[in-house]
Amino acid sequence: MNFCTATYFVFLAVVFSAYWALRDRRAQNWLIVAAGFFFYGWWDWRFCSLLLLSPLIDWINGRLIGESKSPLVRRLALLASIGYGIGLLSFFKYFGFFNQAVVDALAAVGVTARPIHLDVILPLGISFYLFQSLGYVIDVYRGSIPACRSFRDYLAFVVFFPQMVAGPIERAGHLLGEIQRDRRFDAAAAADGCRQILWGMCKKMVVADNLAALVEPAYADPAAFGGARLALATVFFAFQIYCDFSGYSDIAVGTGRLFGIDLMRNFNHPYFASDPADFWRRWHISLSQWFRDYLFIPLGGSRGSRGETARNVLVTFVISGLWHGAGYNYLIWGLLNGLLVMPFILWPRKRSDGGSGGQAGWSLAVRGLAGTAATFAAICVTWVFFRARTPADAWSILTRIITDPGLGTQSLFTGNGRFGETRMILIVLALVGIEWCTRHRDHPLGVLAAVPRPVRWLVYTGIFWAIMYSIPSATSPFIYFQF
Amino acid sequence: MLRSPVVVFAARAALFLALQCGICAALVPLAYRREQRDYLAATIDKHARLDAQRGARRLFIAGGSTAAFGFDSAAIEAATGRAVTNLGLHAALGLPFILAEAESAAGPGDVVWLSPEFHFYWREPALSEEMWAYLCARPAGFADLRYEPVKTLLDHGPFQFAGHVARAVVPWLRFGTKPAGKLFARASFEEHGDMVAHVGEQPTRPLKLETDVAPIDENRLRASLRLLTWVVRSCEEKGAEVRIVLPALHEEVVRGFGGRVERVVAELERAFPGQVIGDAGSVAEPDDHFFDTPLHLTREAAKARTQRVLAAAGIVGGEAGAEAARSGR
Repeated sequence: MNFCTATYFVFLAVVFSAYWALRDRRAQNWLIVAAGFFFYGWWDWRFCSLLLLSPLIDWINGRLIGESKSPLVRRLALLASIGYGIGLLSFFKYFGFFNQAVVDALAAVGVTARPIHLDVILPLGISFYLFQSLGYVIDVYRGSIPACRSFRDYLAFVVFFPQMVAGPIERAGHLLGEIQRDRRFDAAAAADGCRQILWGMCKKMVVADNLAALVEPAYADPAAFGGARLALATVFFAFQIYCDFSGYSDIAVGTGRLFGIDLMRNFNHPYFASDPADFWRRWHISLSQWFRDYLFIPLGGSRGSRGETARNVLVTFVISGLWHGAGYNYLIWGLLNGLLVMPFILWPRKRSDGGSGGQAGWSLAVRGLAGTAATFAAICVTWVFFRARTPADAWSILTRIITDPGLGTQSLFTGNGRFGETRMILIVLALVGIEWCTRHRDHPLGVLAAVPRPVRWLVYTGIFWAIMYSIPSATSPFIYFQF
Repeated sequence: MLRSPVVVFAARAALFLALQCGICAALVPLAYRREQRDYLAATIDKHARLDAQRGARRLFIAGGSTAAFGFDSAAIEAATGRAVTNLGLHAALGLPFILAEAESAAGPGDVVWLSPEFHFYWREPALSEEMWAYLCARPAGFADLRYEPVKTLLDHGPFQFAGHVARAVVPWLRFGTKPAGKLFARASFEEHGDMVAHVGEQPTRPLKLETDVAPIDENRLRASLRLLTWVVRSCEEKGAEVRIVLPALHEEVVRGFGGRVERVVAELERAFPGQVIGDAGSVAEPDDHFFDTPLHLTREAAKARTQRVLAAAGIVGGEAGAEAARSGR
């Protein structure tokens, strides 16, 4: 089920009403489970069995780890969960990629092999809920949290519908705790949650979906566009993916608040980052922290020599790139980000006050702005590899941007979106301005809490109709659904 | 309990949503008035003509704009002795909607010529701006949404409808979208429903030619054929006679589709033996027969093509020709 559909809001209204009509936390958790399976099954009911099996295996392993005194049993249970999760991901997500990679490698040494053809549907959200469940098992093994004795509560933790298919990837120490405590309805939090949902819809439907219509022609046929237009399309893509994914996260967090459950913040104005390392502290925070805690640190983190730290950074980012997709372009994207981040981890610098909003002189402000602009430009270069169909396409786009600085004759606007290039530039600038002015808040619409209700409703109505007006004729699914 | 915070919150949320629904409902008549002059509002005139002929010997044509541009209905009327209406309008309405419209209109004794565009057989149907414009102009058309995928309708329908109403009411905010131009208006059609506004106008050149050599989506093809079969049988149960008339397509596009057209024609001939008018070889038309797209024939080309279609259908002229055609099947 897609968040930006009428069906979702009908579903949300029904679940919300039933949830708060139930006084008992256990009954509420059963409702969360039922709602999660309905939400997931709306996409494809055939994968509901996988959604039940995966948490069951991890819950059983978690119990074994938590209750067994034998280190061998505990380790085997941990390895079983890791093996199951990685194995499942490998099959559904990476079978085709590795299959073709083997064929290509054999061809390079003169051996002809035919790839095994399997039509595998990637289950929605598998990368997210598997990682969330695996994180639980690892935390139990480490002793950070006790094993969850109730399968109902554990299942509710995994299939809590707002965050199940595209994050935030929650830690059991946080979300399981929310699931296991009694919840009280907080009207102010619920109202702010609704405002956050509205803001998320605005980012997704007004900005991201209309940018998608401008980006697609450029990346489908780069040779038809001038270098400056390709650069513009890349900047558009940077905001498309930000608004798409952060919009989803806003809707997820806002929805959670309707149920008295706080989900973690997943984006913290990443394009205001002062350097690439800062960017990755602000972008898809839940995934970055997951890889930091379950891959980077176990590899040794930054505790060893500079060489070991560099290796750990690159391995983490390459695997993070592959998490996003089974393709060489994602691998290169991850590698590039690792190379960008590495200097800031090997030689950490003191964060300037200009970056955190304190008092700053003009020179600090200018340096801060230059750092932000340079970081944005560097990240945009990596986005070319993320968005392009192949690494060769990405390379041709980048060379064209440098060698052919003209706009070319072809416009990005083909009539599929609502707005042309100029209007979208203005909309993006307005978004940046709004987010800058409200950067210390969870979301910009939070400022409306202090405004009288008639004015608030007028603003909500204006935003609602701006969203309706802006819906392109062809809506695009959330980008991160494909991961 | 009525004063509990949850109930108060839910009541306010419901009130807000009701307010938006009320705004939408208030805007719909404005949108309806605005849509009356537009191209898609021509459906009102086409259906009025069809309804006026109820009880008479009718023949109507269903399809997208290819059908609107592609037939000389007056010639068909003269050859068959039937009152002809061309319902063809816009391919963006989608195959499910166009077929449902034909099925709704069909009655005992009618002859129905279904002429859907080829891409319907391999592209996923989607709700479109044009559909909402059509429904704003002709609300009775809501009944013809019955073959749309239910999930798509429930998921996207309400927001898209609201969005269309907003854009219809405030057209001066429609910046960035291309205006339709004077050719595409309600008055663009002659009395039978054939598109004629392009007569005497300069054809657009070069035409934008599409190619797609990827393997055809078998599931989509099967689904489209299933729906077509269902509608054909339904019309026949109502006492109508149905023929599938292959639409015209630019010869370069036929080549560019790499065998898809031939594949679709073969499947149609297999599914509807004796009911398909035309063959794979008769689909392709040369470049100078098209007006502004590889689908829209010039008026002269449409007249010539209609004669070939009549000959292929065994309708050589007048009622005698039609009787001969039927007995020869």
